[in-house]
Amino acid sequence: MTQQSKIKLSNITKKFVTTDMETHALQGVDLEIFDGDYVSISGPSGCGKSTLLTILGLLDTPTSGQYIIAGENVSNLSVNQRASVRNKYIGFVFQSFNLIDELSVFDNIALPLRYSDTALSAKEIFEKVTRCLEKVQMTHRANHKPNQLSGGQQQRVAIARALVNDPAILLVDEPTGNLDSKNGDAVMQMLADLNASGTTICMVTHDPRYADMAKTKLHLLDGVMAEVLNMELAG
Amino acid sequence: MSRLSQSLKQEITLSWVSLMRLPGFCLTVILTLAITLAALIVVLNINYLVLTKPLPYPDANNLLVTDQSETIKDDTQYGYQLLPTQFHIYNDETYIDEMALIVSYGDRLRDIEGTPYIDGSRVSPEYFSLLGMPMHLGRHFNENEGLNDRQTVAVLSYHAWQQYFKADLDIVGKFTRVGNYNYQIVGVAAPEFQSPEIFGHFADEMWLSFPNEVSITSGWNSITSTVNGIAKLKSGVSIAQANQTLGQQIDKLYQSQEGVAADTSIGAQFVPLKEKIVGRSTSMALLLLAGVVTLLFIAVTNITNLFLSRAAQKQRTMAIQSALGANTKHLFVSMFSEAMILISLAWIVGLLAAGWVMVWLENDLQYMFPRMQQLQLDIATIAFSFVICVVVALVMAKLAIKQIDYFKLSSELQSSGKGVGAQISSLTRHILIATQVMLATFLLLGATSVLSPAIERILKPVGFNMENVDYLLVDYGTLDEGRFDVATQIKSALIALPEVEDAARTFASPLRMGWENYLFDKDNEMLGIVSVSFVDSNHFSVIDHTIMQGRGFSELNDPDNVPAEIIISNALAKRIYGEKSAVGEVLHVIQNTPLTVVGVVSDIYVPEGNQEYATERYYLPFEEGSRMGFSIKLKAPIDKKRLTSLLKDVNPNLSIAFQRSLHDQLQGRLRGTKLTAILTVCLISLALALAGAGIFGVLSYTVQMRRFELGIHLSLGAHTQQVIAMVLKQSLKPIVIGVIGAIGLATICYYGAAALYAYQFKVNLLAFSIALPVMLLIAIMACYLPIKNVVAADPIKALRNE
Repeated sequence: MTQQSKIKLSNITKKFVTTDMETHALQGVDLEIFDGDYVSISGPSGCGKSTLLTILGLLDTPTSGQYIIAGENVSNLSVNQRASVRNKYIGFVFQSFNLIDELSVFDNIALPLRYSDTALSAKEIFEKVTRCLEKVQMTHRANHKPNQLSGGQQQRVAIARALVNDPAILLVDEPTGNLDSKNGDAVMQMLADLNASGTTICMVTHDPRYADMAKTKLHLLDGVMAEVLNMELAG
Repeated sequence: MSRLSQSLKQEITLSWVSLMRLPGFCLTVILTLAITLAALIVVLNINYLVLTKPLPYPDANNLLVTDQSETIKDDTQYGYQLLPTQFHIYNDETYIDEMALIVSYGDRLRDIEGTPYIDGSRVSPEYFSLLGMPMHLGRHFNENEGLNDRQTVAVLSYHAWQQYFKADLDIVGKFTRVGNYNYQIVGVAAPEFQSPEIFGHFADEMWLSFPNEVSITSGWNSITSTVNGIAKLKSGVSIAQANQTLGQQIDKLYQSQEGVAADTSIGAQFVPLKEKIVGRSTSMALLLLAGVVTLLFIAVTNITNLFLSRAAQKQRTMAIQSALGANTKHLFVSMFSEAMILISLAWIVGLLAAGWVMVWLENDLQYMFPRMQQLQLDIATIAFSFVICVVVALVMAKLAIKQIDYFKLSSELQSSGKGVGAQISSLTRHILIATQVMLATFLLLGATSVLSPAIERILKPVGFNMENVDYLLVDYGTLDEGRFDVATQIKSALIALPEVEDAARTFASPLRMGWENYLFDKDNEMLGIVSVSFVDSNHFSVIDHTIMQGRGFSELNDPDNVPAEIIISNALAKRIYGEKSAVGEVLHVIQNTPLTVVGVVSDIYVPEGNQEYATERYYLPFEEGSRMGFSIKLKAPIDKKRLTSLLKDVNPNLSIAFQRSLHDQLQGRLRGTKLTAILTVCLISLALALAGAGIFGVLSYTVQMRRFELGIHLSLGAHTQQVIAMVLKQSLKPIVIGVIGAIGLATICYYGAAALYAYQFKVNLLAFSIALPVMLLIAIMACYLPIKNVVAADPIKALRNE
């Protein structure tokens, strides 16, 4: 059976220009992520990992190259079209959780649903959020504010928020960066479980232990994809 | 040097260096405060002069003005006096300790080149001792130059001595001709003497003795605002006692005169000199002060926001200071130093600007307020404004420090800084926005309530044609008799000029409204004191003043046979006759001398200070009198030399006393109103600019602080309009609270002013319908602009705070 391509990057470059210098963060990166894949991107600090992830998440625009999500070319979309694609296909988990302090756990998770092009009823929102809370075992904290939670709990809420729209892919940026090892392990286990249940994941990490948990390991060096290792084949 | 001053000096140096790196921040703070302080200092000075500064006369608190009251059928008016009753009060020895009788009088200096017109007063010798006039040269009037000594002596003001007599040091003993009399100059007042402005807001230039007899038996038919007195009561006598007893005495005298109308009476209504001078200016001065204080609050709110942002910006520096052992007091001194440097600079710039504004507005302000001759940067105001600056600096520093959590400062150093950092709490932000909106809307409501009547007054048509009409007042010199014929000859000569379309004789300019006189009905019943004018038969056609009923006056060719006719204004006709025609009815100006109403003319609206329009008027036929004036309708401008030669051809005694277009005269009369409008517009513009900038500043900061959060929304797929709508919705809450607060505050002020000061604000719906949308629009624009840039960029820029 042929695997279905979820994401395809072709010859992506990203250049940062300041008044006195030009920095090439990404140089001709090609990448294809398939349905059900679990990809880790690692590399030394400043190699372009986070830049690649923000481009994958449509949070930033590449200088050149082509980007296709679920068969749709998203390279040249308007700001609002990109927002719609982001909302529909991508779930983002940040290193620093990025939960909104003023909103409850429930409302934080519901946010992507409220931005959806398809209007949902309050009941539908409640059901979807509750399902995600159950998935990350945070139902009992639904009415808490983020600052009442531990780091590990906040990251679980962030994962729930990323999953609530049933995205095509989960983009995860250093998910354990702000956690202790116990909470870090728990979060990584949760991601593994999600992938096992069919969620496609692309994760940036500098921790080789966690990178090894992915099915496909990518290594970036100075903005160039240096190595691709299929862990299943390698294993 | 003490440790504290050393530490302060070090903090000031550090603050100076650090502020030098923030020119935009410094300039904004300094300009905002400097402009506001300049306005505050000018207005404080005005208020100090009007309300607080003691009058510069000995025992000033015990000086009274001997005003009278006049009651006609239960309607009491104040400010009109009779010379014989003032003379009676002057002679009283039971209640009055000392009194100066004063008659406002102006005339031409006939032996000075150009025969300039000079404002002055005829005064009794007590004027000088009561007011303690310091002399530059010569002396006061002595006891032999009193009311009925028929002396002709004069004292010059320092300004008149310099301007008209070339500061002649030998002036004392010389003579000058004022009007028809030669006066011997006996003294020159010292430059610091300020004459009490009891007849208007202008200084006297000369004080003259009474050349004619003043008595208790004559002058009963002329009630006027140009006669008054300044008095001091005997020890132990209260104003109420004097008013009661002297009032009864003068009323008894009045009632004993022949032909006194029924239901009329007079009384004494003595008022403290200061109250008389300040009068109605108090409420205007207080309103202006309220406006500027509101402006100061808006500016302080702006600066507060800037300082809170600055405190947030300084958090890392403070964290380092804290790590090195600085306590909260040290951090406060650090913030206070910065605030004090900026506010001191603003204060200096504000003082300079205020000084300039005062010089610029000095002449115009005399049309609005009394005592403006003394307007200058007063030491009391300078000191007070500095105290305000220190208080503002203390408040700024205190508020800024309050926002910093001292105990969390150390953790600041350990944090990566990603997604954290000092922030002004949302409650503080909302309070700042709501305060800005509330103060600006309140000021806008108040200011538009002042502005719209002023604009209405400026734009109100006077009711007759002024285009190409000049008013000419002729100085007839020593011509004592035959002035009616001379006026007729001048009229004919004027009409014969090719530049002149028509001309009419008149006692005064159609824009002069100052003469009032009694009016009685057909049964000699008093109808009231009404504005009066003496005009020619063709007067109404020359100025296109509409005759609504009847006709103009019959031809006026014989001074001994003036027709017994009267023309009245529509408002007066309506009051006396209702809807019935007034033509043919009989009225009396002098009792038992009937005049037939031959016409009713439309009402005219000539501005007179801040008073209501005197629409009730009557017109009498021009006759021989003390004034010889002409309204001239021009086809082309007329040369002054040509006019002078025309007058000399008629009679060598004649010269031009005054010539001006009606249009220019009206502009002169509107000067005070225009100044009110200009000051209000400046206040509104400044308030809106400051509030707009302030709200923009707060929201700009808010958006800056929320960029990360907005980035999260965008990264989760929120559309730009959703984010904009969300921020606008959140920002609208304090804006709406501010607007509601302003309406509440305005309501409290409305009822407060009515209850405490008996001052009635005119509620202006137009002001509401303009002020509220304008404020909302500015506030919404100030919300929208900062978000626009954030949502237009890639979300990662917001997430990275780029």
